[in-house]
Amino acid sequence: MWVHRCLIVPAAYVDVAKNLCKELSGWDGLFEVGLSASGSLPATHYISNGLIEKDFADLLLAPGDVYALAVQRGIPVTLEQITGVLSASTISPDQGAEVIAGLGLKLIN
Amino acid sequence: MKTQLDLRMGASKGYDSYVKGLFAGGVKGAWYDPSDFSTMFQNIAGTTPVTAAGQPVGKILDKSGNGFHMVSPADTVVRPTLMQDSAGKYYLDADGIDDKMSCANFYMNSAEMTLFVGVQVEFAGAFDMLLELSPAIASNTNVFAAFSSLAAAINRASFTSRGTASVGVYQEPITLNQKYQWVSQGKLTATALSNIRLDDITPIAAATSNAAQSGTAYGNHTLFMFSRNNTMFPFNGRVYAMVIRGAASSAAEILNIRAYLRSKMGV
Repeated sequence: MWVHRCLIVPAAYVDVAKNLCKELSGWDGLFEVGLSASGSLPATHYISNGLIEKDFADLLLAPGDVYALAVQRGIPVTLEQITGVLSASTISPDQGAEVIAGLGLKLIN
Repeated sequence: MKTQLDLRMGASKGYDSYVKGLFAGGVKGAWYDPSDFSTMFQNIAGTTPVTAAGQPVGKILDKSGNGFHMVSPADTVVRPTLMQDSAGKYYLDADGIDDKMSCANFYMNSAEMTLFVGVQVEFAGAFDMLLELSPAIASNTNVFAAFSSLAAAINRASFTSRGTASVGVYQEPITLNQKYQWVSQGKLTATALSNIRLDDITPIAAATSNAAQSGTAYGNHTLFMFSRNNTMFPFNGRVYAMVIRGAASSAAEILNIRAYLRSKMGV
């Protein structure tokens, strides 16, 4: 089952987020679109927006479960890192444009 | 030749055979129909069919018979979503952030083309690419692009055809979240044409140009949908149907395809 999610990650966490998504969901190449308050570089945040599997969406609500799965798959990451990236990120069922505007950000083109 | 009335009486099957017939005799181009579930797949490999609205579309088949299928670059959030509006009409929804599709080697091998899109623009940024032949029209030849944009706080729909010289035209204002029948014609030779028409709206002067484009024939490039080069300028809106013909279209053909677009949009 698919659910819509807008995922926005601060730039400081984007590498951890990209790696976790790649290893846990098999989805490579997420968080390639940059955001900033001015719409110009440098990017302060990165976004992925669209349909994801509901199981994965639910997983993102539980840092402990993410960590357990990461350990199971041999991903070198700590619980603190996972908690940090999830707590610093915005994970919303709302449309991407609304979420971006709500955070006072703009797409960088 | 079938008339518009004939087509209306024939309902959707009449339109389908009519549109298919526009590619007879070796006319190149493509036809994308998000209301036809038999042409859409959730994954880019084309093995998991789309069965309902709310599912991602990783691949949509070209119904023209030319094999110009559109595919997303990955089975991730970059796939557009099949949606159904309040009138029950199906459309591809591009999120204006990271959705994208493309078709390699899109070669019409014709100096003339006609683009028909049942479209709704939901947000116009500085430059939002609906369709672009080649990674960037400004640095390639024998190409075209259709895009929405925002200029001086006015939303606009634009079409550019380029042989070796770019000729851009536009229609403004456009109303966001409104369905339009978008028709653009291109001819990229010295005796050239570049135009855009939306519904029956009286075209502004900037909607037509006969300035020379000095090209030969629309070239063999990747056709990108919903972004530039799968990387930037994302389009935010809906596509209810799209027909791209590597040929000029007669007034009657344009009327008939517009009627087809209206049937797909419920207007």
